[in-house]
Amino acid sequence: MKRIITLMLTCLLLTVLSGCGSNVQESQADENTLYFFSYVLTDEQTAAWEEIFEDFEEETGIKVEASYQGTWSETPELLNSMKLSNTPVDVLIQGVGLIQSPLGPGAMIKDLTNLVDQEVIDRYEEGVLDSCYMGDYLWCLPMADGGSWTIMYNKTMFDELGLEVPSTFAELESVADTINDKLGITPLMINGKDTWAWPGLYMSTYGEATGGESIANVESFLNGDKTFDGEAEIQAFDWIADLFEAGIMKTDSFDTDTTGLVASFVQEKVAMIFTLDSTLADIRSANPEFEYGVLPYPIMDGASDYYYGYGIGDGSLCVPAFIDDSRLEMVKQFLEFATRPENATKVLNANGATKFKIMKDVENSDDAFIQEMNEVVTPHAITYLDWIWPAQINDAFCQAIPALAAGTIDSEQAVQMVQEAYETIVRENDYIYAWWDNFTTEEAQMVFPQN
Amino acid sequence: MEKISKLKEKYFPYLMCAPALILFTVLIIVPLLTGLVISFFKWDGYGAMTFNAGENYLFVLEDEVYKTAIGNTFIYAIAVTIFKNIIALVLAFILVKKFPLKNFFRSGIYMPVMMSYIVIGILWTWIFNPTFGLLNSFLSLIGLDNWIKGWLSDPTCAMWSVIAVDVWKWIGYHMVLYIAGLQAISQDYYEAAEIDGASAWQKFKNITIPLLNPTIVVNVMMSITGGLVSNYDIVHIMTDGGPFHATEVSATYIMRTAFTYGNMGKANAMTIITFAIAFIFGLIQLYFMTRKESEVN
Amino acid sequence: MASVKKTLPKILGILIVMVFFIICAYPIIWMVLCSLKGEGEFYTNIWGLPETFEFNNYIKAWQQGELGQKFLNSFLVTAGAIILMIPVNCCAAYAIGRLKFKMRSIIYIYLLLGIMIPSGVLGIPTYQVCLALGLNNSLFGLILVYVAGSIAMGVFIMRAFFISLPQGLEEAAMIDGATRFQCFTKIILPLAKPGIVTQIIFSGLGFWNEYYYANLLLTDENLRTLPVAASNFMGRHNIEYTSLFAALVIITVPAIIVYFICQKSFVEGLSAGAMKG
Repeated sequence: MKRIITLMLTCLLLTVLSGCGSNVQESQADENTLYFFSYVLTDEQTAAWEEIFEDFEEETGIKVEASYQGTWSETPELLNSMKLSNTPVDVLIQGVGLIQSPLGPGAMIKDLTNLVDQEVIDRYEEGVLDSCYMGDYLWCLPMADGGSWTIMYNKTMFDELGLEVPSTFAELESVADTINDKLGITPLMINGKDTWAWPGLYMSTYGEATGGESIANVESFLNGDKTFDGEAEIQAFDWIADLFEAGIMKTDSFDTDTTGLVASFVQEKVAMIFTLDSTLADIRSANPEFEYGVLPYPIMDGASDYYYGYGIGDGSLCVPAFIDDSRLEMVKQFLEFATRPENATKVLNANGATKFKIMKDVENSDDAFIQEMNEVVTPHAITYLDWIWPAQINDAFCQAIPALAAGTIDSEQAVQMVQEAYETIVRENDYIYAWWDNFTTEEAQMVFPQN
Repeated sequence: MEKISKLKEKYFPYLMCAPALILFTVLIIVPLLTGLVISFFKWDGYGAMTFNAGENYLFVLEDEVYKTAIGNTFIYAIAVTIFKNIIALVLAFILVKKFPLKNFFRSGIYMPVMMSYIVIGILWTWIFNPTFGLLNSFLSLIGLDNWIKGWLSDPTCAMWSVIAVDVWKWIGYHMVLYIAGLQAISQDYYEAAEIDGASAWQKFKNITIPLLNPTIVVNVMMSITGGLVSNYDIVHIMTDGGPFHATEVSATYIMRTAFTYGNMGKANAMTIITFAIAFIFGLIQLYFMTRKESEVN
Repeated sequence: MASVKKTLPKILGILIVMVFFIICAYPIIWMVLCSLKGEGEFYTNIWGLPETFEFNNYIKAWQQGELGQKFLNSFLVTAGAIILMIPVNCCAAYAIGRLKFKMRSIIYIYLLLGIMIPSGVLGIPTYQVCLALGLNNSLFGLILVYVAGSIAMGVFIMRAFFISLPQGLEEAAMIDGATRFQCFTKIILPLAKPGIVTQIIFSGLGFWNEYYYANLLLTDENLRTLPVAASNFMGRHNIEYTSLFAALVIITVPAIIVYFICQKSFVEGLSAGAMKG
């Protein structure tokens, strides 16, 4: 008897196992529904989108079904799983960085050049769409604020010590000396525990070393036209090492993460921080009374101007390559609708007005600090280099810069690490900078809409 | 009739193993074999796959970082196993005897096992923080200023900081298993030994260790395989392999290669190699442990 | 002199236990305190007591993360996986541990392979298998993935228990007319309770806290589990620490409660049982 029960139990398990194979839910995309996917946004942004969806349905009769999942960096994997499981998704939110790699080269994102009319392009401020074009093709439409690197300083502390705002390296050095002597705290700190922060410094020094030609230089490096061991490349590393040699930055940067950076800053345990401007919200919520200002990146000896890395195109609308062409008309309608100033403003300004001017008819912030930032930083902004070079190259910088700062390697070795990283990906990944020209026929058919 | 029951007898063990075998094959081995297939292709995880005939394995063998990672993985696994088991055993010895509020203390030490990695990551990053971290403040409080260092940023000690956190998380679990094992040893043995005038060390060596062996086998096996292949979460939240690959273990490097670098082929080749190494290591370990086991029996 | 020799180890023991107790138990208290702080205090008052106790954090986290549904999902997945895991692992381990058959050691080594597989990168292949079987986007699918992942260690633990039981147990029962399977369920299994409890505590906790597969396999908002919901409080640029910690407390508390309920029978069961070498 019991043996029969065993048998039955086993069979039951088998049938359950195989049985669930048959109930595959073939998710069928509804003709009159647009499927929207995003990583989890803030509540305010989600609410703004929901409002736009309602209005869109009212105007066109097309219902929008939205889902929000994961963090931004998980989107490629999730999108891939949606592709494999035929889960409908027509429009998604993603940034330029991940489009450049891996979504773009992986043929996951559709070229929008012919899906977006000139009218829509004209809604954006001059230059805003620059980073959304890769190889003359338009890949996404920004629907979020930009961001930039910047140095913030503790105004109260500077006033108490009678310090002037430094603009050259020598001035910064003397400011740092005063802070070291009088307070014994670290003058300038970066969130180096998040290794992605280190290339931020290089964006500034490389900009200075190339006289603002860093993008062109990096592009020709990635194209294989030049090696990454010229004078400017080494110089840029040297200038980072100088910050540590001069006692402006210290090793405590190595195990400080973003939260630690903000905490150290508002607890007045550091005088200046090199940071992404998005930490502003944290600083404000940590201590609303705290007074801070923006510093220009110090102009190094031999440089003529300063630069900061920056980028617009995080949180942009894009379209998965694998959707059926019959759905493109609907998608086109939606892209046009969402980027109308009266609609875009809801999303763009959901969490307070934007720091950067994104669209012509959408107001940006008039906050005093942000105005200061727009005077000091914005005119000296150069697109984030880590949006251009691939992850492995970025990782080489993430490893090389702290090693350089710690004195483990010198600048020559640092550029060598970058060059080797490039050679590795060319060999191992068949890396090609102009990925948009290198699709297979099938991939090209998916990526470029067929009319 | 006789024949049928004999037949049933013959297949009974297989029937008992069937559910586990099926589930295991379908959801663990098939993906592993898929991984094996992928390891022979150039693939970014999204686009077209190109066969590259084992070139990925060549790339892995040439990769200095991977070699470092494998070295670190072994250091990690061995260190974690030694510390977890010794500390857990010591605590178990103390807490198995009469001790005030012993259940309370046992539960307290068990707490980290239940905490999620997100909390552990935030907590320990802040404890190790150079500016306002508890550890450095504590050291300067007790006058050990020259001990102050970047616990997670100094390549010479970052690995040990991560190991410490892993040990901290799991000692409670191993302690409970050891307590159980110790309680199971009958007091009679000790009484008999005492009559014979055995010293504490002799009692430990000749009674406790042999009788505790099954428990030790389970504990060592758990901590060593945990240290070899499932250390991703803890290393990822603490350092993610940095600084300059000083804490890189094979799991973090594989994940980065797969999902950040978009090199699925190479990542799977690394998975297969790591698996092979862990497999050989596991077999050796199993051989010695089961041999001991049968000696005791 | 003799008393010093006796009390010294005792004091040392108390000292050691106290040190470990503090470093192990303090984080729980710290986590709870953090969940009651105001948003700004995270940066300015990291180690101290909250200035005011913001119980609203919990309400906010519960509502904003829709944790009610997620709680239920997590419970279903954990309970389901445990209920399925026990018979699957015990049956296999019993056969491997106490029955003699041809393929025994091969099957054992085959199942043990599971302990040695670095699983992370197999996420996508696993997903593809689930997809082919229609197991994606269902709690049952997630349960099967969890159970499959627990087999290697589970069989290893249970086999250790089974082989340590005296050899004659089944023979005696079978003379009385019991079948093999009856021997297993009626005699062997009750004796292996400690092993089962070990598995529940070890794997159950893993299921409860698991994030990677839960995030990958379940795309339907209504199916998501607690760890996935908690990670949603960590946004693109800003982490909502108060909600995050409140959610994390909500995740941790049931585990602690279960532990306290099981604790006594856990340790006692473990030692009363088979671990006698």
